[in-house]
Amino acid sequence: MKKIFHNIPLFWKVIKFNFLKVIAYPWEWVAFFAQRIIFYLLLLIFWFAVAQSSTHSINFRSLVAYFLIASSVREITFAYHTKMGRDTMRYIQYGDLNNYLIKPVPTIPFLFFSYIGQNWMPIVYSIFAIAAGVIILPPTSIINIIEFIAFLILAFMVSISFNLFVAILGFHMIEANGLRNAFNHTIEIFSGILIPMTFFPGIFRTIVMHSPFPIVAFTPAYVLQNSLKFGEVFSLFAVSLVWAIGLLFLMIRWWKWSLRKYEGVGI
Amino acid sequence: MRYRLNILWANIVNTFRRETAYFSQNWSNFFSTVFYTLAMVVFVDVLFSNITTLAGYSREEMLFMVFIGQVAYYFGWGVFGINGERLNEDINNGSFDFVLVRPAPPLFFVLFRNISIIGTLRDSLANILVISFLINWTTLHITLSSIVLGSVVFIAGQIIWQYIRVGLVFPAFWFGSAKNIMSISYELTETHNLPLEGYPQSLRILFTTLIPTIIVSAMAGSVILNKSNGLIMAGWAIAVTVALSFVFVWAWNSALKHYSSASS
Repeated sequence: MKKIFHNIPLFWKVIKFNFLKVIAYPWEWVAFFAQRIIFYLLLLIFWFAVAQSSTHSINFRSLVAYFLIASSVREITFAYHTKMGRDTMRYIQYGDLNNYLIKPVPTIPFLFFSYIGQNWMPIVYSIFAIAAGVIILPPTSIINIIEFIAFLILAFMVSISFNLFVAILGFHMIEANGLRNAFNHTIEIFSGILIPMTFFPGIFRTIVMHSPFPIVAFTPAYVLQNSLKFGEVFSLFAVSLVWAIGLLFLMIRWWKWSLRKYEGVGI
Repeated sequence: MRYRLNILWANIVNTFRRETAYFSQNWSNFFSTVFYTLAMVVFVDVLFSNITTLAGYSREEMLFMVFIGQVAYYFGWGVFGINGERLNEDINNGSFDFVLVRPAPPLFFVLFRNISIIGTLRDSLANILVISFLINWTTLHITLSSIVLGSVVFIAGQIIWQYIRVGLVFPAFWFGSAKNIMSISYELTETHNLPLEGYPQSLRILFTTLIPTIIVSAMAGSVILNKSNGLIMAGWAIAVTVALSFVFVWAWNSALKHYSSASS
């Protein structure tokens, strides 16, 4: 931790350097925002058709706000397609990790800040999308916002663990993109990004809610949009906290263990 | 013609050699597609635990639409999908010069450079069989004529999608890279999820004319299930394909004029 704080000026430069690389192609930013808007609009069209077909009433306005917030939480915590993990996995597979290992800085934070520099667009998009979601369906009290921030931090920890998991696959397999995709599909369906957990049938929903997947999208959006009883919030928080700390601890240990087995070009 | 067939064959063999080189890649891709199929089946089941029909489609018909969507995806993205990405990389790093100096028609080569048959079969077969097994085919209203006309729409849709995938890379000739622009095509595959009848009228027109992404899946599925007039739909799909072919070739010629080669 001390090492990370000591290197903050350097990490800031890393962010700036990677940021400059991205702004070399301005049309790519436009395309990025177009991509996200298309994804969101198509999701809404789909759910509009579902709402029209449903015999019981579905609050479309609340769905619009939900998808804005849930998809942004996934984006801002870097769980979207575990891209950070994918990049690191490629460094490992192609031996490029050596370039980072020989630097006198902590490797994971260095890779993390490089990634932030290259991915500032999703962060900007997410902030606007969350604001839009809050405007469309304002939270009932300030407590919801405090709870949302707390769950966002836990979502971030879980997401970092997911990304580390994907990256670590690179140590043990020559080609792990397929497994990464499988993991992403699982996140997509069980995080509530395509279908809110409230639509899941009884026991199935209870099982999924005890997994780490909803933490990266559904849970923060759910606590922001609903006035929940203390018991429910506590239960959600307890489950999320256990996963966040447990997974992060496990993944860091696994990363360190795998790193010892790493045979890079030139090492 | 024979020369072009030779190029196609060489591309198939080359892709096969690359795809069979890594054993773990085969299994990891297989797992990926199996998980995707399971995720889609869970999605449909969860959805239909809340509704009885979606835009007039029953659960079985929606599973059939998933089936069509998967076949469309594997046929298009699996077999030819990577060609757009490779074109973008080539333009970005200057390797496109090598494409131009080859004794092969550049546009033809760019469209069919990678033809992944074994890889696609490996990834798709199990999934498509699983989905086929889950569908109760006797409940679907499918006839021979609807299959024939639906297949015409499907093939036209595949040609259109190949134009879209590669065409979205053309801005790279002007800007140097079109990675995110090309990625728009990934988002547009989400249009496969909803039946044709689920789209509001204006969007139905949009997605079958200016951005004709739903011809390959939603329109083909609707024709096969006898939910829309097959003859009109097939005629429309062919007309759009022909029109888009002209636009595509024109755009390619314009784009080529803006290519600043790495060696000039």
